[in-house]
Amino acid sequence: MSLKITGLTKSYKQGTESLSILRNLELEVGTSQVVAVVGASGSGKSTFLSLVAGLDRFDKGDIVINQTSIKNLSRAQMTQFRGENIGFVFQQFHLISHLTAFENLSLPLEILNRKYKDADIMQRLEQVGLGPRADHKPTEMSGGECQRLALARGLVTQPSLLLADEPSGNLDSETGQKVMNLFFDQVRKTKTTTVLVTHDLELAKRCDEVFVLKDGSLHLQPRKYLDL
Amino acid sequence: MLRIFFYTTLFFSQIVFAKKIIFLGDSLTEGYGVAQEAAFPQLIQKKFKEDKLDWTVISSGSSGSTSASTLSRLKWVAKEKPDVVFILMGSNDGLRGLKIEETEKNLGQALEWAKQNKVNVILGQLHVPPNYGKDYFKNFSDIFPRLAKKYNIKLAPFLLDKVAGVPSLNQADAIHPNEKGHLIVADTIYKYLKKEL
Amino acid sequence: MTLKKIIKLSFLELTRFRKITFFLIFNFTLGLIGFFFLQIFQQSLSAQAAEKAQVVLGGDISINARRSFSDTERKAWESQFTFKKSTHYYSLFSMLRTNDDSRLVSVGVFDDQFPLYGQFKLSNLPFSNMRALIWTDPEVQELLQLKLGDFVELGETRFEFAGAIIEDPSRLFRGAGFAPRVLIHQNFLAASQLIKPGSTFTETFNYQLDLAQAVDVAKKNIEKVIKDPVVQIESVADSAQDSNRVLKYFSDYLGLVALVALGLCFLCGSYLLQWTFQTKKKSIAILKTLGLTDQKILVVYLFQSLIIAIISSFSCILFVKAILPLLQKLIIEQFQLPVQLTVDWFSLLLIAFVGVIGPLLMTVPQILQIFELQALELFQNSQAEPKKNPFYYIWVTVSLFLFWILSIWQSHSIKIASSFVGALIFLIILFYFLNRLGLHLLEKIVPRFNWLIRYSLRGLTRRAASTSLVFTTMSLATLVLSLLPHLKSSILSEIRPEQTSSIPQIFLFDIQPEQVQPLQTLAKQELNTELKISPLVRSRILKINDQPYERIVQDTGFQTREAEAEARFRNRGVNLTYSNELQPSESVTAGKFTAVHNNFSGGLPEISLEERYAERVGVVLGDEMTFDVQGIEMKAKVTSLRKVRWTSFQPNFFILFPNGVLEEAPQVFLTSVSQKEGADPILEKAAIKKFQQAVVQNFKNVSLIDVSRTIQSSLKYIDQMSLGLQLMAWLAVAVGLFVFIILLNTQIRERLAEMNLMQILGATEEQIRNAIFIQFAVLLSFSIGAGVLLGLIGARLLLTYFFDIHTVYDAQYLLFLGTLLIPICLVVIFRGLRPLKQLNPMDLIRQT
Repeated sequence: MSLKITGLTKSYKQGTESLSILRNLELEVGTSQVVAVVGASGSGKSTFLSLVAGLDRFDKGDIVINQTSIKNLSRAQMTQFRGENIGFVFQQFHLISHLTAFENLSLPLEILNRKYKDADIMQRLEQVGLGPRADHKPTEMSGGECQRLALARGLVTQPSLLLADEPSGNLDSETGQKVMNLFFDQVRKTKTTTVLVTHDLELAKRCDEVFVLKDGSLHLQPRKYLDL
Repeated sequence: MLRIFFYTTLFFSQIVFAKKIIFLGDSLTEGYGVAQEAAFPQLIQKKFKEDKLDWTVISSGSSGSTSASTLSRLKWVAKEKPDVVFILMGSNDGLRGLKIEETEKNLGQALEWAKQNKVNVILGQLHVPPNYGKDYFKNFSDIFPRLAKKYNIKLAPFLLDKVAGVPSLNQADAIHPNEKGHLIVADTIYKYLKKEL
Repeated sequence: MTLKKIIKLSFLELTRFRKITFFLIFNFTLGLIGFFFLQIFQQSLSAQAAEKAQVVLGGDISINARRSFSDTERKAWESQFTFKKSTHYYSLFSMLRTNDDSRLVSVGVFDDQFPLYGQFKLSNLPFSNMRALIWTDPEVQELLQLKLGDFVELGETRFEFAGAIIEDPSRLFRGAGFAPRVLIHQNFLAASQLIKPGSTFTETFNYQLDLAQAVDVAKKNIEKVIKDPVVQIESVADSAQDSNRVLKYFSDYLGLVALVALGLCFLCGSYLLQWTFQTKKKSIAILKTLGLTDQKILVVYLFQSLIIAIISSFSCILFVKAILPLLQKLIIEQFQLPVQLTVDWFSLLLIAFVGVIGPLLMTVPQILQIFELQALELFQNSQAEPKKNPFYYIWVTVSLFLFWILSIWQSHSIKIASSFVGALIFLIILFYFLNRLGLHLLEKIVPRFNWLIRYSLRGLTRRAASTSLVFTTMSLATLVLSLLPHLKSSILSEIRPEQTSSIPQIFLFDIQPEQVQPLQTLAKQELNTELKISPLVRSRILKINDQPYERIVQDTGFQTREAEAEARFRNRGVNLTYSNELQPSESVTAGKFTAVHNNFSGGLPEISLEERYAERVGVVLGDEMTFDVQGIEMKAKVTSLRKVRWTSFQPNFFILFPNGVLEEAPQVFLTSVSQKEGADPILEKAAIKKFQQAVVQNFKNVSLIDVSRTIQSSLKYIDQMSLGLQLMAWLAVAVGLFVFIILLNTQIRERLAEMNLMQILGATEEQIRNAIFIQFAVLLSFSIGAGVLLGLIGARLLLTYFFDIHTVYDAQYLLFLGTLLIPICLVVIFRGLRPLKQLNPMDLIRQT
């Protein structure tokens, strides 16, 4: 089991009132499984992602990633753990604009102090079709190229868990399609456990399982309903 | 040893065989503010030449000098062996309001020395401007005839006669004659000299 | 879309970005406040300086001559300008008599109107024409032992002693005369018969103009009707410019400081707006996608800037108005600086102009970018560097032009303004290239380091535009920090002697050669000191390099006032001195000083000239001058030029001979007496007084001038001005520091998003802190280094070529700047890093 969430509860203080976002949320994602989390706007997708990524504290419950409970990790430990175990793909790419594609890709390895060969990085760039763009900066690349680079970066550390937040949300449909093809291709090939947060049902359908975030908890959606 | 420079210069000027008159004075003699040629001693030299008189004029004017320096400067110029020393000292004493007795004493000492050393001296009459007050004006002016009488020397008329107080003949400071003023001063003094020499 | 909607949208935007709005307003307000204070201070000090000049001159325009003016003359010139008030007075020397004593005095004969500016301070009775009264300097009262009601004679009139002159404004900065001053009313002049044919006196008419600004025009018109060259026409402008170097340095300095502050404000403002624009870009793109035309976005954006500008200006003016009385109190009570801080319409207008037009003008580059923004492109990728379109360069030109106009307005001089703007452009270009060069070198060496340093340095080198902007602004701010205090210290050292104690109390001159020894003995006895007695030898310059030097006057007279002045200067004769050593107040600037002339060398005596004098007479090193030393011609060669610090108030000479040449020439001596260093001032004063009395008694021919009072009052004034200089320098430094802090803050904010990402990628807080720290350490040390270095060079250049004075570096300040800047940088960086503590990588997820 790569990700196990039990009884996850989170509420925010808004003035004097407490706003309950997640209530007793449960989720299990097996190794190499790719699951989608879909939900309406404001259903708590971002909160869910933040908690899983260890970016925010939860009130109750537990999150276990790769046999490690992140509940009691300190901020510094969490940072370390996240770097080693969790990869990210954002809607906004969030690449470092003044670094080249190559440098952006090697940065996570540098931060984790992992040894790497330039050839490995090049190979990964080629895998996402960016071989010729190694020395280009994100500002010189198209949105699709940026997201492909972001995808490669999310996987470069070989994380136990990849969190993807609307990866095609900022792209036109055709580019989005292409990028997502690559996305699934890559996560499947690398057997990376993945949680894809999206509102796009078409994308969700391509995952192993689809959960709907509603009223603060996740509901497994039988595949047949998705076809409707 | 360091004096050689001055002595040699003086020596050379002694070679000239003409008769020699030295004007020993202050800024008026120096020709303060006008070119040396335009100051009255040089103008008088010209007049001597025009009249074919064999006199050499030496001007020893020192702006700001007071009667106190008369004796030492007289000793200095006496080395030139002048035939006449025309002393025009005391204006600055008056302008600075120095004590009458002091000026008289200083000039007296110089005249006494001249007498003992047989230096032929003419004393120039001087006045202070009337704004110094009637008393001071009179007391100051009286010094000169008194001294001339005491040492039995010639007293020359006031050199700034017809010049003092006339704006067109003086520089902006209203004290020092301009070029035109010096011409008149030269006339006044020359007329007197011609008569006396 | 109506105007109302545009306004509504603008406010909506402002409130949506209220943090940024507040930040902008706060920064603009602070910057404006700094500039405003400098402006007020400069205006007030200049006004005070101008007032002082009016007081010194006694009016806006002064016409005087050493002769009487006729009514026709007076009417002729009075028809040339309009005036509020006028005063007419005479000054002359005369003998003041008591029953048993008499003394030379300088008589001021005034009418009721005098003085037009400033005030007499008289003990006892005020100045009036009640009866024949006379006021005298305290020393006259003391010497003649006058009591109130005593009678003294002046000319033909008996005057009643009415009190002592405590303060006479007209004597500030005017040299002390031979004689102490007495005052009488003009009504009693005729009876005294002081002015008669042959009298020497100065007649003066002073005027207070209706419009003080019209003084130059008035002067020109007056010069047209007064042909007589002996008549002197002086205006406050001349008097502020010529007669008083202190005031000139001061006003130049003030102008410069205010300009620098203004430049910094502009630079900082531009930077801030550009920076916030980056933040607002997205919002603008949204407006674009919503179908708003470029023109309307422009109006919205301009309107926002206008609102911010108006609020900033308004809060600035409110704040300044509120704090001014407090500051005024502080300045008067704490610093004893008699400056009246006033906010005049000029300052308000300037602030309004700078505060409102400035930000609008600074908005232009962003507006240009609005046109270039492609909405879609923005959504995809927000980091494209702005391209420069032709309008950008037009904007730069227009801004520079406006800044130039403003500089002229501020400095009242096209020359100063142009050099200033020119220097600024040059510096910006220089810093830009320095920066590019530095970055290029950095990029080259980057691969040698570990990833953290590599990453940090790339954060600088790859952000060339931003880094360059920060580098340039920061360097300029540091340049200001490092430049001004050196200017200040140099000006101070020029106008003010280091030791008050070495300033002479009395001057003695006309000391005869045989009196030198007895005088020394007296000094040893009474003052326990040896006097530095300088010989004075009168001479005339006959030739320079065998060319006649004196001006022979043609029969036609002088063509111009200047020609006459030049001729009189050349024909005036010079005072020579000789010595085998330089005085402490002198230093050789060119050539080599010869101490003793070797009579056997056969060479010419080698003399030293004061450098400004040499320039005036047109002499350079190696020239030969021929002197007439009372009937004897002698040649000498100029082998050194000297600089003399005239503010040492020591007797100094233009032409200095070595020993061994002039000893035998007729000469008199002069000397000055000052208080001994470290001695009890009261005892010293008493000793000097005793010495003074002994001199008067025993050396009757020696003239003695008591300068202590004159110099003291001038020094007091110089002290006040110095304090003004210091305060201005600190104000400017404060503005510089402010810019500095702003830049650091914004730079750190700019990096926040990236830091969030770094944390998500697993970088520890420590690593992130280190990365930021390395970046700023490098950026700061480079820009501060460049700023300080160029500040030092700039100070040297400015002082040498603009102020024409000797550079005195303020090492203490440099040290202080270091100890100030380093902690400030550290504090700012660590404060700026504070947001890192609460880095919220969630923002990366939420930011949609």
